[in-house]
Amino acid sequence: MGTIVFVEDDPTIRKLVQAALRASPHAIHFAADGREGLALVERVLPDVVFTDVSMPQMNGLELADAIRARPALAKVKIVFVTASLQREQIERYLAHGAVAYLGKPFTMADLRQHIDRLVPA
Amino acid sequence: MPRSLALYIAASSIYAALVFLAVHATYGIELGRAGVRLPDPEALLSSIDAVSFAIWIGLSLIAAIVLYSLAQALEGARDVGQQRQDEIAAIFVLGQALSGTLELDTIAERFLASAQRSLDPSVTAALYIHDDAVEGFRLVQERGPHSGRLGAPRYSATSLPAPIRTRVVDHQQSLVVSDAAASAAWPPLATGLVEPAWVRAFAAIPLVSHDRLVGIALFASSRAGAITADTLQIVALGTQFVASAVRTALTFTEAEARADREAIVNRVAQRARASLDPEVVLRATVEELGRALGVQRVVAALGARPDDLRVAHEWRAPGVPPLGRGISDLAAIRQAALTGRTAQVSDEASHLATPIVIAGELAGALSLEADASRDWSVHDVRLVEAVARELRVAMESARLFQARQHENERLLALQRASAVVAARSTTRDVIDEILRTASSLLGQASASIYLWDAAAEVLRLAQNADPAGRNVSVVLARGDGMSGDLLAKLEPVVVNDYAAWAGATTTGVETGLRAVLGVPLVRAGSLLGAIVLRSYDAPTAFTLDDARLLGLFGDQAVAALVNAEAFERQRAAMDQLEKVNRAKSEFVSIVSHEFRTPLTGIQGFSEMMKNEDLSLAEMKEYAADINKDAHRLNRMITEMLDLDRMEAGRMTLHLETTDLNAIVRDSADRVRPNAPGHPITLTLDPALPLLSADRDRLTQVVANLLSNAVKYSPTGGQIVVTTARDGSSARLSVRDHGMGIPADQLETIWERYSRVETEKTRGIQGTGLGLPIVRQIVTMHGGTVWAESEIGRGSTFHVVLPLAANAQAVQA
Repeated sequence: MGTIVFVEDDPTIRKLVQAALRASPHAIHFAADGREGLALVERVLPDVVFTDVSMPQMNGLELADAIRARPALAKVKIVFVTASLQREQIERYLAHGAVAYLGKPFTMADLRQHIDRLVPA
Repeated sequence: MPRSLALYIAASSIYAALVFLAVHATYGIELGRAGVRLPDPEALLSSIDAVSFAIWIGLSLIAAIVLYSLAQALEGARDVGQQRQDEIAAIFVLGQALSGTLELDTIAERFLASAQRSLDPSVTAALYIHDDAVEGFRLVQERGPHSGRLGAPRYSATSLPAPIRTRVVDHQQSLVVSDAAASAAWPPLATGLVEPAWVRAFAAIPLVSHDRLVGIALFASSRAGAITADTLQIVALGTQFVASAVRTALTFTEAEARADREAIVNRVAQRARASLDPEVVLRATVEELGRALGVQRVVAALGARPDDLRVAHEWRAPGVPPLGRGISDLAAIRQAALTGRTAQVSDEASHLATPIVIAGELAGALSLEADASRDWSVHDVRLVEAVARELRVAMESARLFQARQHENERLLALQRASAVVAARSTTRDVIDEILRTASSLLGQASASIYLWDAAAEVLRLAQNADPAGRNVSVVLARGDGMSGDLLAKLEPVVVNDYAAWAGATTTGVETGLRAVLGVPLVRAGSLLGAIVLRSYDAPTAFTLDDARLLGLFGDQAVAALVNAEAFERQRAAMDQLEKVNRAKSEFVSIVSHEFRTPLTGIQGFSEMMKNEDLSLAEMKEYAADINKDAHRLNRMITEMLDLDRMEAGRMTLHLETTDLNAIVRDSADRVRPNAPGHPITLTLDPALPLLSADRDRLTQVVANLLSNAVKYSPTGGQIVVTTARDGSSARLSVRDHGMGIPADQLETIWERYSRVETEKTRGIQGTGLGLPIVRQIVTMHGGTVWAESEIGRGSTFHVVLPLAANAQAVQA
């Protein structure tokens, strides 16, 4: 059973993900911005963090940098969830230490597939 | 007995004997042939012979004596002739000696020696020549036992003794006093002589050549009768040669002097013409004059008034101290400047000065200074005058050249200035540069540019440069202030005595304005503006030339201004294009990002509803979520399109008489059900007049503000909406008691997709377009909108709308 942190400022999307992963065996934690997300990640030490890019307080890229900067969090995988999927932006995400990205709007199947791939059962 | 008499007697005797013998023989033969026999032929013959012989001898003697007497007479006559011949020969010798001599001294010496020989060794003789320079007679040489005690070194026409003046000078006749003591003519003569006491005999003769008196010769002796009319005649005969020689010598000297003068003048002219700098010309002139005349000092002074001459150049002979005195002390210069004629003044030195006159105006003076002993000759005077004339020509051409050069320099400066101005691309820069350049072009620090305000028909100050920060007129209107008037008529303004000028303004007079130069900036016959230069320094005078130059510059400035405006328009168009381009990119980005958030919800919930087994309650809940996001998406699209149309000016306001209070009430009623936790209080001014406005748009404004107030304040936070009349405007205020807006974001909230990002706004959804739309609508109505806030205490949004319909609204 793994642990997942989902960082997203839009409450509807948070609600959607929560609903979609109701039946998931993994523990799922939510945060509404990068700063809150970082605190959550440090606390729960998830296997994977799904994060929005454009957020108040601390955006997704800053969150990724902060995680990568902490040796304790070296094993945490990062997935960006974003509507901006131009080639240079994708390169940027990878440069910030992402292992994958999830384009908005995403299907629940996509989401579950990523989780299955990245989180040990 | 003279040899000639004996000869005559012998000759006569021989002749008589021969004749007797011949006759005797003839008679004897004839008598013998006739056979006449005489009683005593021997005796008879002897007696006849004796008588005949005696008679013949007598006759011969008489003839001899007669012949002798004749010969004696002839001999005497021949001696007199010889003497005469000798005297004439002496004159010819003198003539010969004089011919070919051009030295006056030599001529005098030979003449006086010859005269002395002709007259008497006791005679002292003096030769004077007529000198044009002194207008009188000048002693060339005096010779004889009383040398130095006869005549003065110099006689003017009037200082000569009266008898000499009338007889010798006027009538060109000789005058002789053989015995001074006995002559009544002597005393008046004696008065003019240096030492008349020793003189016993005196004579004066004119030296005339070709009817022209070239000089006079004076003779005196301490012996009465040493000079007589008779003896003087020979001398008088010789004077013809002397006069001719003197005249030739004088002519030659004159010619030589003239040649010298011309040489000097030519040198001056050459040096003067080699340079077109008046300073150099002056220096060359004084140097040449100083060297040529052997004077001690030459001064060239310049100035237009006799009281206002200054030393421009001074040449000094080696060892001469510099001119310590002012020009006013140089009496000769002053006199020359005052009279306009050459002047000579003698004090401790001898001065000669001549004015330099250009085009009838005094320009200066030349002055020579020499030892007090120096008498200025006519040559000196002529030379100085000729040099002054030459100087005048040279200075005039130098001045003309400099004026032309100055003009060229100014044109060059103009060209450079025009290039500099043309290189500026913005109107502001061009105006700055025009000011800077116009100031430096005419050396005036205070300059202004006015631009024509076509609506108000005035020239309005666009830029003013004045290091002293003096006040200048901000507006030059037609009718007030003559300069505005003139400039509006496209005429330059040149004022040099501002205070006395009819068009002077009080501002100008108060700031001590002295001179003004203004030129209109004209394009295609219409006024664009004006450049105005001001001088606050006393002696500045703007010339028409300055006006012309500034006018030329003005033309360039106009071209630069027009170019800059065109350039700015072009750039504005480019900026606009770039903005449109950016807006397009932004739109794409927004569509891709902002729209995808609600789409994620719609897609995700609908997917779950499709694929999962859900309870009815869950179905309903998810459907509501889908519905909410769909509305949000729709609102975003609508608002974005609205805002674009409004910003592009493509949205038309439908103005109608609108009751703001009614709109506020309706909006509050619509919001209340969705915001049960927020009490909404309305404080409406019942006397608020009706507005001319677009009701739907105004409703949008109130609804957006109310919805924000609800969104950004915690449950229970009271919302107060107030309307009031504020002068000629209606005011609407929406006050919440929410979290407030940081001061640095009070302006950015009006931009698209900008949201106040604080911990407390997290999770508050919006389109990011609400406030931009509010501002756009209010602006289109001619109103203003702003926000006031205090963090933690709430915010108030104010909308002020004009009561009267405004231009933009009608047009929109």
